[in-house]
Amino acid sequence: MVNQGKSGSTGLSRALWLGWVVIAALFVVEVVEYIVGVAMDSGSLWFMVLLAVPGAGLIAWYFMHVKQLWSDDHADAEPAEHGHGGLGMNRLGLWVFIISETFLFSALLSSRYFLRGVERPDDLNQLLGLGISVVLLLSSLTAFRAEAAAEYGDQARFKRNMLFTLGLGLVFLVGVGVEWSEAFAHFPPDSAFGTIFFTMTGVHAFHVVTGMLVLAVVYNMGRDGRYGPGNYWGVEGGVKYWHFVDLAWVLIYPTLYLVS
Amino acid sequence: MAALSAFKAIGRGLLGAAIGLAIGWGLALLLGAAIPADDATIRKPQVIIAVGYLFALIGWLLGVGLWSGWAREWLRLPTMELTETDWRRYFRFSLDHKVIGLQYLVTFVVLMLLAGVLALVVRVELATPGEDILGADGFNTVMGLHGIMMIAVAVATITGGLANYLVPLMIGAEDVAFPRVNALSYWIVPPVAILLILTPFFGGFDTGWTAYPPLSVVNANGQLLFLLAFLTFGLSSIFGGLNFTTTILKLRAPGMTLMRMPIFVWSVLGASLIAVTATQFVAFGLLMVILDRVVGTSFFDASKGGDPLLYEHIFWFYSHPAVYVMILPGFGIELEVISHFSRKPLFGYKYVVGSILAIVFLSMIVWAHHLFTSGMQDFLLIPFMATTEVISIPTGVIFLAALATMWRGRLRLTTAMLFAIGVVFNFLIGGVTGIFLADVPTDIHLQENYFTVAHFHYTIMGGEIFMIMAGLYYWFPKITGRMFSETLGKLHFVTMFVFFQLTFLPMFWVGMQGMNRRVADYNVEFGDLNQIISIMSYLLGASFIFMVINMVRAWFGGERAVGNPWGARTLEWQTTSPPPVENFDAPPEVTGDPYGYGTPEAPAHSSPATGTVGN
Repeated sequence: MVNQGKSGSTGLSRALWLGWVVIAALFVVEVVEYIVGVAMDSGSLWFMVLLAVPGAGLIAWYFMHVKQLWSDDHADAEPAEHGHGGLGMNRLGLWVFIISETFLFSALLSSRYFLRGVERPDDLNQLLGLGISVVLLLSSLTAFRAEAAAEYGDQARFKRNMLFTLGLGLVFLVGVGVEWSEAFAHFPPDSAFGTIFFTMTGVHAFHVVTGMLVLAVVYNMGRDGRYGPGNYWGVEGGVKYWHFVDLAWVLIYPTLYLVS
Repeated sequence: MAALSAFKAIGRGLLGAAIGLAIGWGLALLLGAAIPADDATIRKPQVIIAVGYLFALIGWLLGVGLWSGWAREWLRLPTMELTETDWRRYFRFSLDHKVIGLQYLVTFVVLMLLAGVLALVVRVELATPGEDILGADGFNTVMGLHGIMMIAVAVATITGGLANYLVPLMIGAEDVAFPRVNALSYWIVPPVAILLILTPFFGGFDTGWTAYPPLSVVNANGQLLFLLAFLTFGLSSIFGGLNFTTTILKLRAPGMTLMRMPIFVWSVLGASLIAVTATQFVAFGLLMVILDRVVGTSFFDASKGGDPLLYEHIFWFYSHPAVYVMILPGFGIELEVISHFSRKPLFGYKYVVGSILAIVFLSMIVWAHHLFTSGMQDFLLIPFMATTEVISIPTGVIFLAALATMWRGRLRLTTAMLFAIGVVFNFLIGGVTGIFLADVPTDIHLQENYFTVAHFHYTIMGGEIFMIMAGLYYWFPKITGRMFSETLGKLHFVTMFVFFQLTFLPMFWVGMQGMNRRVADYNVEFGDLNQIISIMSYLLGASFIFMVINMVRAWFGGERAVGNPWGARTLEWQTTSPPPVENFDAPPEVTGDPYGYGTPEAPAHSSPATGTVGN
């Protein structure tokens, strides 16, 4: 099944505007978390959950379009043609994968609380943590814009935003690298907190790297106009995965840096 | 020459693996230089194994078909599709679910026989008290290999083999949702087998298949190979589950509503949901052990703030649901076979579906009953005892559905049906003895002895392996297009059933008397019974000779099978045996219930239909 092609600049500009609103809300969430956790030094777990979960929800609802799962062709409906589940099938497959991955990240989060409770060392570079979080959120915005551009057939904007996203991903990785080199001095990997810190950031960074590889492939395949209205599943799939990596960080960031 | 060309893909895969290994090795030497000198001698070889394997795995997958069939597309090169239709495609990166299903089936049936031989080796060691032929370390490795190989067999023979072959046929689809992911999930398996075979050359592993730290962090390098193999197998399982979930929810033929699906399809959906979710936990558990070994983190080093209990929780959060990945599709086979050979509708179809979904959910909240003797917090004992008891309700519903379907049916005692009936007996014993392991007071005594071994084998071997046998005999004509000898099949059933009881029933007794499991040696007072158990186990092993002879003979020279030899109503029988590449000559249309036996006015399950409607 091919989804309905959309056109017209109003649709695109509305989508882009929505992206800014969502990212603004996410920034507010991160900054409030940061102020409460660091500046006021009262990072209660429940408060962080209260903020981080709606933050993750914003990404899932507006960026990852989770409602497509039950709004586009239903499981009980007949597939478009024999042997082809089409777009709905691809979307479901990706979501099943994403749900699978959430279990990996839940295992990570529960290990942190199981082993270290809400312990937070003073040596964490809090500003750097906030900085890379903002960078990763921004990369979700550019990824969202790239997808919208592909959906409405704006090829130049698509390519530009894909490159922005890859660039921001790289900045994030450099940030993690700086963080690691500092962390080695304060809490090396064989220390109690270091074990958790390096594993959580490492597993997440691994997902960032794979996400960048996927986006690079999508960019390469789409750089001469392969994707357009009604045919942009490649972009949508890659970008959804990227949003998921961001969503995971929205939960990991307060868990590692802010709760105390 | 034509014969040789069949192995080109595997050759390229091996070449890729060699190149990958070389790159990984080089990289590991660079990384290894950064390890502090005081523990470099222990950790350097492990870094080489881990990094070398990772790159070898990638090289193998690229070489065997990922590159030519998939990755070239990413670089905007034309991909090379496989065009062969003869036997050579079975050795290639084929995308046809029937080829992949058969690849899985043959691989895992062979693996089952090998792991069975290992069990016999274990029994030789245990035939008399004292350390006889293997010694303590050898025993541990052989027992661990038997365990992990059989776990893989139990997980993948149905969800990889039978489900792959049959689910698309049963829902009237042309293939699975993601054929390339499907092929990938199979071709990940050979490296797993190679790693496991290599473990004895790296000092073996002495933790059993559960790999509990702290032992698994500090023992020989064979353990690392085991961990990597298990992790890789988990990946394959996740890909498989992802594929089936999507296939079943999105690729059903017109008219195949969810409540018209054959129960086997439901059961595979249930198993897939568990596989895609819980498997991530074991992957993370294994990753933590690998990190402790290779990187030097301290997840499980209590002196540095770690806690080995974390592993047990994470491990069993997967590994208990995993037994439902094994047994749920087994139930599916069981009910299919019983309904078709009782010529009666499946009793309580809706309740069985509900029970399958209930088990999927409940299986995730029972794990800590494996930890009753671990020293975890006392307040966890009762809740986990309760949830474990509760899961016997949906299991009991499925069990009763099997009995009630047979009740007053016109039973056709084919080989497949005999195995299905055998399961009813075995699973009853397995289930009832499970209650003693779910209850905290009795479990504290029974946890670490042969009672648990007997219970486990009654559920998984007497249950699932018997179910697999039922499925293999039931679908053999469909898959191979040949009929097997019912006489040999029945001989297989009778010998396997009888010697299975004689092998495992006495284990309940020696267990209750206090014979410890997982140990090469035991108290002399258990000598007589163990000798009997060992002899019976050899005969149990020998019963499989009937199966091998029967199946090999039938496959290469058996009578040709018609499309629907059993007169069954479900879709997979409404096409030729074996089915054409696109499964059905014309897209099927589903019009009725799959199990309307005995009611002449029931509409056919599908059109076109070749099955005998009614009885």
